[in-house]
Amino acid sequence: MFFAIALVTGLAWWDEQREADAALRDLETEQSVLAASLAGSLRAHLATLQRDAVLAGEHGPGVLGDRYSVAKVRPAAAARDKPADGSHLLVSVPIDAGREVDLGVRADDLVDPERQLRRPGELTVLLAAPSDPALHAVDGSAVSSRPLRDALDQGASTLRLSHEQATEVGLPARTSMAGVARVDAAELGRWGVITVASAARERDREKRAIWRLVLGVVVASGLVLAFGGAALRKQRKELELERELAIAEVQRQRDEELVRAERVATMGTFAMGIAHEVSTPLAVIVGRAEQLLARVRDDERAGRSAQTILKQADRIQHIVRRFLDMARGGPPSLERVDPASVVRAATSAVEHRFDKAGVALAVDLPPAMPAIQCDRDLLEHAIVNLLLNACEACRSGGRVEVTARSDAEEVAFVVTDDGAGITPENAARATEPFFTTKAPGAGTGLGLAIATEIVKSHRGELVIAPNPGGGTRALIEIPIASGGANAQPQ
Amino acid sequence: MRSHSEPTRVLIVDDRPEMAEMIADDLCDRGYDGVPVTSSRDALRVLRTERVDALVTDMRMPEMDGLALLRASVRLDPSRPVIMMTAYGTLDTAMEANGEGVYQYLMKPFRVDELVTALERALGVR
Repeated sequence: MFFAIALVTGLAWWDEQREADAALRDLETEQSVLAASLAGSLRAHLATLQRDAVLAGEHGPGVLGDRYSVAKVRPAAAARDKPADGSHLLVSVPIDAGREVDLGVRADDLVDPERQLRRPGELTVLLAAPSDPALHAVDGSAVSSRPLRDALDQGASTLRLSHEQATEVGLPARTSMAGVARVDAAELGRWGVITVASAARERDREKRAIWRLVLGVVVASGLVLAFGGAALRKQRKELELERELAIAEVQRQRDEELVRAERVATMGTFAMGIAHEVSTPLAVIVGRAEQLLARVRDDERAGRSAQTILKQADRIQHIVRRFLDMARGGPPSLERVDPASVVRAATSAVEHRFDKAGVALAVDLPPAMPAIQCDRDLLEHAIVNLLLNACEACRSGGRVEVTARSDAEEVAFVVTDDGAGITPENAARATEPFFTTKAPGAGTGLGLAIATEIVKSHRGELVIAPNPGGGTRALIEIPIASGGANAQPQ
Repeated sequence: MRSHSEPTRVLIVDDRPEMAEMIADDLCDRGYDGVPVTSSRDALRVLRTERVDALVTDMRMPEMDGLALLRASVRLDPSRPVIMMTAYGTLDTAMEANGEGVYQYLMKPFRVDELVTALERALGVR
């Protein structure tokens, strides 16, 4: 944008300079035309003057009346009279061999008898008389200007004067334009007419134009910057708002995912528990019914009863299986899993909750650990439950750390927080179903019970205890997979 | 070693006495000597002190689970077949991937016929 402003300013400046130059050239031409015109007038007046001199020679100077300040016939050898004052020029006209007539004449009578060109400070008209190094202004003053003299001698028709040169001829210290014209008046010698016009008006106009230009550019740029800046700020604000909304949306989605995962894990764990609890009584019922059936072969009714018991037991088993499949999307499955990958999945599922709560979550995992046999989703959910409990126990600015360590027999996952802490009595009861220390409605009291159930189903152990350094420490121990080889990288 | 006159002795371990007794009764009906116990500790004592030809144990039990009992049994007599009972839908069902030397898994509820077939095959192989 700054480049565009500079470009526009540059172009306007260049155009303005061109305009100003053209104005100066016009002034120069005007002066040259004016000088030429005044030269014509001078030539005519010099002819009149020559005629008057002849008249005076014949009839005496009295015949000229008071047209001249000096009118005197004298021998050519006699000294010339001085003009009465500086505003008059003394012109000596030879009329015959041995006589000359001195005529004192006003400079402006020679070039501008109508006094039309009196514009002090703007325009000055100078007259150059033969054998007189000074230049005579029409207002009567004599000025000396080397460049004008040179221009006259060299036959130039125009000349541009600098500030100093302009002051020499009584004009303001601004660039001035001169028009130069010569008149060859035979016996009266070579005369010159110089008109000098100050270009102050053009220069002022130019200056004003430049100021206008600068003002225009500054105001326009200011407006563009102000409105552009406001628009940019608005856009940035809108973008920020959009980003915040997008983040909120992602957090909402992840929360929903977490809630869904929790529901699935809770239902799945319940279903597993029910399936496990029901399977043994059912097996007893089925077994005893079969034994009865073998013993009552002769009693049709008793046999039918035993068959009914078997069928109903089958039905119960079928219902339990369907419930389990529906709750989990299939029976749980064990696989060889890298413990670190379970921790990473769990932290990734809850990190938005930590961000929201302003609690730092640190993960410390060794570079390699032996694989464990586990249902990945269930174990991940158990760790998620521990992390969420730890997060809720912390105030904003708190810190939760999850680590994993292994020895020859088991892998231990440890979640510690620097939150409110737990009494040994509460710690002992923490894994009981429906036990909670949270405010009514804030927790179901099932999270740790579910986690415990999950860990138990992996032949592992979950222990909640006060952390020696303050806060709470939760430990999950899971036996490592037989075969003991390191987990495959996930 | 069991003699020809003595019936095959099968130790049945389940923390639910009804289950252990039901299987023991059924096996006795079929000519086996079924011995029911309700804890791994009792089972271990019997395994150490008495002749046991086959071990049928539940997987999930308090204190010492079926897997630990299996290991103990293998240590005492690697050739004794072990049949593991598990429940549908629990992680126990996938334990066979461990390859710990279990002869067969039976998922509760099963017919005792299935157990007998498994026992016959396991003891025949011996």
